[in-house]
Amino acid sequence: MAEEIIYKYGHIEILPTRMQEYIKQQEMNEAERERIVKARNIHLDWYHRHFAYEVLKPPAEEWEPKA
Amino acid sequence: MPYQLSKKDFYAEPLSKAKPIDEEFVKEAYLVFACRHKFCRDICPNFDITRNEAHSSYGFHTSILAVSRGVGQLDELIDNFTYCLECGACELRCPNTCMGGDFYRRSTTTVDLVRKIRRDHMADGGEIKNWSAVKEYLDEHRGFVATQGDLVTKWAEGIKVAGDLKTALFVDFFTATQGTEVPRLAAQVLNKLGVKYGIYTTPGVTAPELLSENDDEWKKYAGENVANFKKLGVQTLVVMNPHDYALLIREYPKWFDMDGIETVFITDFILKKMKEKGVTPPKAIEGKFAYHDPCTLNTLVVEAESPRDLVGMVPGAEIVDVPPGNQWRYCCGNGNGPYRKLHEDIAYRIGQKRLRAAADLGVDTILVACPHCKDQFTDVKQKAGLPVEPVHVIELVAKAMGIEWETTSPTIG
Ligand code: SF4
Ligand code: SF4
Repeated sequence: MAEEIIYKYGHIEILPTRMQEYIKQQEMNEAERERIVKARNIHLDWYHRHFAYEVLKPPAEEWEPKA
Repeated sequence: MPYQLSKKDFYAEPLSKAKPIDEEFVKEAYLVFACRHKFCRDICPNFDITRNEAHSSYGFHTSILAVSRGVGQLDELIDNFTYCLECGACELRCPNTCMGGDFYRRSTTTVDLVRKIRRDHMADGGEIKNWSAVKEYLDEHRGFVATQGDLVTKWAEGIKVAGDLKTALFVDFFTATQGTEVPRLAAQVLNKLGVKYGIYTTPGVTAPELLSENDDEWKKYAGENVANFKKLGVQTLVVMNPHDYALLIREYPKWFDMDGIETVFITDFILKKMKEKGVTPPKAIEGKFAYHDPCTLNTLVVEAESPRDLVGMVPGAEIVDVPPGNQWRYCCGNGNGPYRKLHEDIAYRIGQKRLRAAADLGVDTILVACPHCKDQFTDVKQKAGLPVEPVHVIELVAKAMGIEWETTSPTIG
């Protein structure tokens, strides 16, 4: 899926104008977004520990966020 | 810890049989219904015992959808909404949160949902089975409000409290009456570290149970607290009970401006002060311990480090339990709301399963960081005859700091 995005505080986010009609965004501050990112990493660590022999990273130029 | 704001405005509109469910709310239900991965189900400590899909985030959202489309009645479905511990694990495992919540700025908020459905149902004249036990508990706490000043300082009798309220200890009614050893020992540890603090004496009814009964009343107490914090010049609020901590970090910012007030959990505060002052507890306590991550810290706030790090400061003490991510599926069984009062038997079985997992590690002590977890495990241990004693992390640290107190568990050290 190709989606229009913005970079915000080191993370990617959907272009907010894309979330104004059918499904709307909720009030969410940076701390809440950091909480979700942290939880995702905890979950993925667990997942990798249990199910993967090796975890492949994307190519370097696609790895670092751009802003 | 920064305040975490996650709020859906359409939850404010009460559900009622007299009018259709708001379409925003229906779309919310569709987002979970349409997923069907059911990750929320397999992480749920309640589902783990009841094996009933209606008792899961998926089930709750689907029930709302059924009511909105006229194929179900809330009166018939309401019982399902009592089978939730309000632990928050399903919210994190839901792909709507875990894989896209930060990207779409929209996440699954099951805990808010079940609280809303329970209180709306009762406000609309409906009943919830066994609610009288919850009401009794809340009424007891409402009764405490008249004498709260004395009540919440009684635990500190004989302890020198020398500071002002710039740094204020926040002790709720449950902790002040049933979990006294935690603030008592924490205060003595702070004294040993030379930290000055005062005691905040008017917490009001803070129990999360109230959010399932009457959120306006809960907001009234919380609003009074915020006004008092500002009036009294509170800069740092040190919280003893993680249930309060989760409410302060996640619920208060929905309604109140918390600017200028830093809210810190007690283990985090002690750990920081020890590091600042270069203090290591002098007494070694050799041993391997299980550790139960309270879901209020581990899943609701996702800040599970400080109790573990504090135990790490105690010479000789070692946690041998699984990491926090593996503990999302655990709850002690008490729940972060009315669960244990509504489902005593299932609460016991959830607790028994958790305590057995600790026993399987070959330890005789499970450390906890929540007075409700300790209360619940104490009951479960007795009933199940399992050889694992629940001990609060603060008890361990106090002991290592050379502080003795009559209720410090004899099994440690
Ligand atoms: S909040 Fe906890 S108990 Fe409630 S449905 Fe989610 S995982 Fe289950
Ligand atoms: S008592 Fe402990 S494990 Fe149970 S809900 Fe509260 S913090 Fe979570």
